[in-house]
Amino acid sequence: MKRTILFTALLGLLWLFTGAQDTPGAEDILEKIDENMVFDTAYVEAEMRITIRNRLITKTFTSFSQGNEKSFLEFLSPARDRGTKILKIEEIVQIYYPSAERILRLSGHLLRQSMMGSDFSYEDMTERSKKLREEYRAEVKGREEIDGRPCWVMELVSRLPKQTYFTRKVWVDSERYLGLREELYAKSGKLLKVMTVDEIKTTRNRFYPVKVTLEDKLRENSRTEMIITRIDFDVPVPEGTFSERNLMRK
Amino acid sequence: MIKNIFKLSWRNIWRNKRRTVITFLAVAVGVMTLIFMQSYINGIMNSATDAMVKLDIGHIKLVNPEYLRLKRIMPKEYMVPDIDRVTAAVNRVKGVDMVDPRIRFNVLLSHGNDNEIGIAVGMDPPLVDDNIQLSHQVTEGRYLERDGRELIIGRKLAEKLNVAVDDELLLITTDINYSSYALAFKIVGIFETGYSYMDKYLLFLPLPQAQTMLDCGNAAHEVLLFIDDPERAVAVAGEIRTALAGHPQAGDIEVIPWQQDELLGELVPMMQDIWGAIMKIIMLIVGLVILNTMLMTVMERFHEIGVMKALGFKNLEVFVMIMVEAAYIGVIGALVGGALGGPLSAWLEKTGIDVTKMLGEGLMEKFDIPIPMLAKILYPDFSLAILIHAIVFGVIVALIAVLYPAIKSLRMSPVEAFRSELKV
Amino acid sequence: MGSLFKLAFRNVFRFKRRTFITFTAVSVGLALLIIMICLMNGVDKQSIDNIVNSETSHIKIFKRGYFEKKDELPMDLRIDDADDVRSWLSDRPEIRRMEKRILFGASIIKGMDELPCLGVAMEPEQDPFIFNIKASLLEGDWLKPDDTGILIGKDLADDVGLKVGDLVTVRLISSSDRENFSWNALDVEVKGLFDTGNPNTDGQVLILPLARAQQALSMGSGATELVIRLNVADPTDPSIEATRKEVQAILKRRGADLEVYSWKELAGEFLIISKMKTRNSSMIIMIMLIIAAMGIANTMLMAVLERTREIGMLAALGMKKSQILVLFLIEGGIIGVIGSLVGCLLGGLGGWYLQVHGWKLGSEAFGDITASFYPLKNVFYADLSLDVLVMTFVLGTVIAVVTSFYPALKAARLNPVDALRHI
Repeated sequence: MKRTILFTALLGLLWLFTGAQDTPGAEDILEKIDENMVFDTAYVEAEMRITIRNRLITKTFTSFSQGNEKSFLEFLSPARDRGTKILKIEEIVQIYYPSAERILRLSGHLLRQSMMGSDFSYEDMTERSKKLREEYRAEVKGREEIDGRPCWVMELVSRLPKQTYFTRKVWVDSERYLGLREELYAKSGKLLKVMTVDEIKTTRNRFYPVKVTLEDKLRENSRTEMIITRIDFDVPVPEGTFSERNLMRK
Repeated sequence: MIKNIFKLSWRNIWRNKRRTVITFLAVAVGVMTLIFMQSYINGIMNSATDAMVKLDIGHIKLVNPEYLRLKRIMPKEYMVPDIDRVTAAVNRVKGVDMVDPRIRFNVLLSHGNDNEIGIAVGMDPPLVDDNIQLSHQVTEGRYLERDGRELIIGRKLAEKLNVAVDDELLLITTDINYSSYALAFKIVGIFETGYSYMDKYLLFLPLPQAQTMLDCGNAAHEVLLFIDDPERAVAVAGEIRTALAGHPQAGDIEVIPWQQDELLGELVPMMQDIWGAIMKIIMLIVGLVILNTMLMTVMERFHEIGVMKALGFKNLEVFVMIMVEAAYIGVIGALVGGALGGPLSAWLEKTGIDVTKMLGEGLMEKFDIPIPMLAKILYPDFSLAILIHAIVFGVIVALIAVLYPAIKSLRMSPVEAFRSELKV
Repeated sequence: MGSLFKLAFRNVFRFKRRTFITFTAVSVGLALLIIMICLMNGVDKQSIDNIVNSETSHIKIFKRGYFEKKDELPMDLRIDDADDVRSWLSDRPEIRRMEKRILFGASIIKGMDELPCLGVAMEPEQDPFIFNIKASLLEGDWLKPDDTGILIGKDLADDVGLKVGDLVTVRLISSSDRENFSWNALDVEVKGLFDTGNPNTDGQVLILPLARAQQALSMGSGATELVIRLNVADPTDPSIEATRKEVQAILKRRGADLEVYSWKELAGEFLIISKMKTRNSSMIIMIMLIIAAMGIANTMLMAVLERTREIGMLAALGMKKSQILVLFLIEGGIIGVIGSLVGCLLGGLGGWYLQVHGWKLGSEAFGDITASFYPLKNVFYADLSLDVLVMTFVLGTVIAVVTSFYPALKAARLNPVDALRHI
């Protein structure tokens, strides 16, 4: 009899210490976000609106992606940027400059440069969420509301000493498993970038951000709005898209 | 009687040839020294500022005030617009010899797997060569032609990138509208100026190529103007401002004569102080020599004065005679000094003095410093003003030297004058 | 011989005007020479002192291999056992203070502009005893060890447009390895501006407390250099090199993988330029010396010419040629000695005055000469030293005697009859 009571008490204590059932573990959340974003292939047409020093510069591009590993971007406008193409395979990024008819391979510090003058860096564009799970330790810190949506506030701290964004704070929509706001911090705690999702589209039971704003806090008064004007999932990707040959095509 | 005094004085001084010749040699040598030293010193001061003026400041600089304010950061977008129009306006101003527009911007350099940041300077190759003989500093390959997708690069930068002549170099930059732009250039030459700033970071390319990369149309960051009379820079700058007043973007163009350049404005007065002091010391010594020699001439011949007075010459006449004799010697000596020193300095101005021989080439090699390109040969700066000043100085000192004993003699009796030679 | 001396003496003082002129030439010429040399030495010394006080100090200890790459600021070549080293050296009397420092690549970000500069992390409690940065603070306050602010050079502040109290973002580069490039960013307040007089320091350096930098750069308790200031007054003191060798030996015995360098090796490029300038000024001094010697020679020659009759008389009275020669040489010597003495006195006074008050040059709104790498301000101080005085004294006397030789020879060779007839 005593034994049963003890056992139940222990179970109860255990249950108490593992926390309330309705808050999932951070790992789970990250996994669910992944699930939401998973696709085989995608075709995107987008517009980048860069506000810098009181000027507005608009660029348009198309892109093919294969999962999170491969993507191919091609800029259509403005004229000076037309024909510039970016090929990303895993961690390697290559840029083709039509004016020079040459390819530049980006690595190291070059990846942290601004992409095409925007607030996004090349590194930002090559991010894979698997990397997030591998390289960061995640913790759910609480709940907040953003624009009426209930969110979990997650904090990710880098496991690696040398990471551009050492700490990340993510507000995850608890119903749709989509990051609505992200704050990226340097090791010192300095806020480096802020990303907000302004518009979401529903496709096939998935929730996809179609308007994202990123602010690089190290650039005064600078903001880039990425607006996806068209997105098709699981489209057939033309053969040879993710290749150097395709980069150099006229 | 006055005419006689002149003839008499002349005969007097030639009576003791040796003494006279020595005296007037002293004056001549003194004047020559002054001419040469002042020219040499001016040459030194010039060479110090020369490099900066020719490379960076020009006699007059046209620049966008915002660019100037932030000059260390090199903001690309603040430019002097519409160079053609500016050039036309500037050329209407008298005295403008050369219009040298420049563009300067940060650029990413890529060759194979090597990347470096450098500073690209777009300029007019034949113009710049005329000015600073940049082509002479190209140690490998050749200099730039007026236009073409080619560049020359500093030696140290070339080493960092592992490139050689005839290699291709990819230049990538963000243009003034925030587009990424790249061009592939051929390296036609490697230069070595001796200025480590230049050899480590710079590459030169034709201005139109730079304008293409920045997508700025026919604009430039700086326009260096060179005028025929640098001393008049401030006045000419004013005329240029007036000429540019009609330019629609005149507010973007600031006209700065070299005297108002921040750096030079501090450096030049300081150098003038130092060298001025040294020159004064030299003048003191030369003056003393002339003084001493002239004095001796008079003192030695005081008994002659006694004789003259005894012979009936009036005091005033004797005074005038002393002064006139001194004048003869002073003027002839000074003129001879000028005649010798002037042409010598003028000739040296053309050929220059090879400084390396004096500084010791060995020292340079030991420390592996190539001698900075504009400092190898020193050109003394001779001018008519220097010549005239030196001659006048010589004559005046000669006269002053003699003034004291001449005045004393006025009141002396013949006997006193006669005796005074022995005493002093 | 003794009588010659007496005669020489009497001659010198008899012909007051002539002696006066000659002796003025010698003394004024020498005095000016002394002042010039003292000024040039002073300028040199000023620059060296400045570099030692603002940049290199006397001795620095680096990890082996750091020095060759020091321009790249290799953060991986760092000293982790700096505190141990300090304890090994703490009882040495010739060491005044030691300080851990980190030099790192940095940039100041203000608005849209980013300006690269040199980051220096130091220990606020040790630094004032080693470098002159605290002493040269123009505005603002010194940092505390746990401070969140920075200090920047006045020139750097002007270039970016910053003043005390401004907030900026500073990027700290913690690895310059191309593949592994990483950085951190801090928001900091400008707490003070310094003006050391060294354009390298004032135009490029920003200063942080060591602890903060170690944290931001993930360096634990490491440092890139250990700076040692010795108890010597003058950087040219030879004991510095001896101490350097000793410290190196100690480190070797303890098995530490560290190298010790003195300021001379650290101030490389500056010293080369300084040597060039010394050569330049020596040339000028040489020219002035020649001109001065010519002046003295001239007065000597004049003296002989003036006294032709007198020499004739001496010869007629039986004085031998050799004696006349010696007589004039002695006279030259006497004037030389007295003239040099007075010259050294005047020069010494002038030099002393300039040592205390300095010579202000150029325009009023002057700062530092950044055209050259020479740390300099616009007030020049002379450096008076006994060596200079003694050498000039000897030099003056020698020149006076040597330049009297030719005239003395001429005097001795005069034909008495012609001489007497000379008018």
